[in-house]
Amino acid sequence: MNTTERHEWLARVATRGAGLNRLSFLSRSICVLAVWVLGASTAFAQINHGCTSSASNGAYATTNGPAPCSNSDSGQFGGSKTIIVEDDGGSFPAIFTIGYSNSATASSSGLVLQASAVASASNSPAFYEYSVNGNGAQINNPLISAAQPVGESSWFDQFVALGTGLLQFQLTMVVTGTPTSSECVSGLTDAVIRADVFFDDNGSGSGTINTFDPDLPGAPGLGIYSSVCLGVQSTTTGVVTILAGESFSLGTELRAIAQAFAGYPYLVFNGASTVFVQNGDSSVNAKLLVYIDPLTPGAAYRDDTGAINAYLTPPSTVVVPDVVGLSQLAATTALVSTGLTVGTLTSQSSSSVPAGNVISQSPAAGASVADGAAVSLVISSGPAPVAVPNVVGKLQAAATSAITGVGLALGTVTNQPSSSVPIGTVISESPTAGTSVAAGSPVNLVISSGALQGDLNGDGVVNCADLAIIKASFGKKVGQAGFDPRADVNGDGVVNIIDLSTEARLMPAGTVCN
Amino acid sequence: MSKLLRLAVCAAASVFVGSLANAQAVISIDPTTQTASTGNVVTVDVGISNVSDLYGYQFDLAFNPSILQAVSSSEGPFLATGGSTFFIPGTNDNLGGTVFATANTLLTAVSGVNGSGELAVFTFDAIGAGTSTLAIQNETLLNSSINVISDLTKTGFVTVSSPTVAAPEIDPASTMSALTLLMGGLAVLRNRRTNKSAC
Repeated sequence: MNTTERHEWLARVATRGAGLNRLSFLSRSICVLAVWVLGASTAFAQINHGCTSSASNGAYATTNGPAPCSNSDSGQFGGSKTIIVEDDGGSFPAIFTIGYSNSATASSSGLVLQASAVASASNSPAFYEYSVNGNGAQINNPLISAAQPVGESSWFDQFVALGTGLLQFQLTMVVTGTPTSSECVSGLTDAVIRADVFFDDNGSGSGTINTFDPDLPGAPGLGIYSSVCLGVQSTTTGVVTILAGESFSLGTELRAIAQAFAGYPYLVFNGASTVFVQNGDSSVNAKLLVYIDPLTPGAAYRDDTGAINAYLTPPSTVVVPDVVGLSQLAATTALVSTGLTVGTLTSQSSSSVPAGNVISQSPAAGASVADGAAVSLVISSGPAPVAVPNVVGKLQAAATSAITGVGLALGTVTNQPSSSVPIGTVISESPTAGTSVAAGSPVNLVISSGALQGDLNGDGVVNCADLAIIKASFGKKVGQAGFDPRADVNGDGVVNIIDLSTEARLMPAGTVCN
Repeated sequence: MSKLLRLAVCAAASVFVGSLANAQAVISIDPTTQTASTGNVVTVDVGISNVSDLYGYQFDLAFNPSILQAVSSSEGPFLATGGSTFFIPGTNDNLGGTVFATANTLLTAVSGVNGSGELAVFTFDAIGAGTSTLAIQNETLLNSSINVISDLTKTGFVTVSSPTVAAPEIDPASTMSALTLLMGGLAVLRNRRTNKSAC
């Protein structure tokens, strides 16, 4: 810069009145942003809105703590930088300018972003403000204290340096307002310290300012690019499924907070220009719980490049289906297809629910539960066991009542001749009395059909053995030794051919004796 | 009634019985007469003729135990022509002279047999000289409805001689007289036992 240019530049600055540009409000935020620009090129972000954050030069600072942020959050980030200004010691002090450019934006409505700057001299010779306050007073801390709107590009002030000394410049950005959505506000893009000795008593501008000046070709520079995430209270969440082993980025519009899901693999935030979430397990899909703006639930969000990187699912609650009465398999299918899991299975006897079917469920049908929640089922083991009653010796009707009275069923009824059991009476039962069987099980009965004609020995059949009885008593009369009343078929007191032939005619066809 | 008249009545009765025999079953000893020597085995058959629907039978066979000793009895083939049978050989009473309660019956619900045939076979030992009657007693015939079939019986005779004693000389005239009297007496006895004849 030659002399003419310096004068022109100085004149331009002088016409700015207070030397400050009215910076437009590009965004509305509730955070206070403070930039401390240090010669050591360190920068940090400080967020006072309750959301933890971190920042470094060239990187976004983003919330990584649990939501929600408060609607009235405030935050700040910024930096400081120490510059060395040297005056050549002549009679005319060196005059230089300091400024920065700011491209901080806040897309959310309702946010006001302001900045204030403070410069302080840390050693002699003193620096004098040249034009900001217009009084030429020696620079004292704070050099600049008024909050200034932060806007589009730059803010400059002029200083006068008498001698060589350090000047620390501090910029504070304040954002106020009520955001309507959560967002990360970036600021101080390409923030710079412009230190340009433009005027010296020797007119050569020999004063030295040992700092960077990105506007000067070849000058070392370090942009400060930092942001904080501001938030409204997030009340809506979404779940993004991340395929096994893959990662994806979340745009700054996403207030993504990884939250481990039980049974799902570990998720890793890798920290990048955008937030990347990486599935830490290459074999199982993961899920990411994302807090989203309540005004746009379920929307598809895009990252800064415009690529769709996440679709948020509907609210992660499901309604428990009614599985009572279904088979265990059908119930399981219904639950799983709904996004639920089967919890504890309990077996319980039931006289009304078939074995293997669901008696009850918990939570009950209609309840709204988290996706993946477990639903416990009580499975019927069928009716409780019942002891078979003893009905032997009872008439069939009474036996039937006794059987059905304890919850059993009458099974098959078989008639069987019996010379010892009265007709219509139960000879035997199956299963036997006292046996424990499932309710509703059949009990089979053998009922006496009375004595079988011709079955003299009561073995249930008429055969040669019955004829043998007659033969043994043949010719005997009642009262005689050897008389067997069974052989006296016609009861006439004598065992003779009438008894024998009568019995013989009852033999089944094909009978051959002797 | 004079003896002559009695004989005449009995002769007429015999003719009547003979006519009944044509309609009734007749149980008889076969052979009716036979001779044997002591120590011999005598076999006699009990047969039946003119029977319809015979399903079962029972009888006693009486003999003179001083002349004959019952040894065994077996089933004849006649009833078995109607199917399977159940035969009871009877009980030998060699003191009283009876084979007691010999019986046989068809099995199952079949029809009885018809006609004539051998009911049972008996064997005796000839132990003493003399003539023994073989009389069917207490007989009962049943049809397939277990009803009694009426019957007549015919007695048999077995004459046993001692092989060591010479046969006595017999006067033909006296023999004929004795035989006439014997036949008449036997006829009376038989009709009394069967109670089915007029005498």
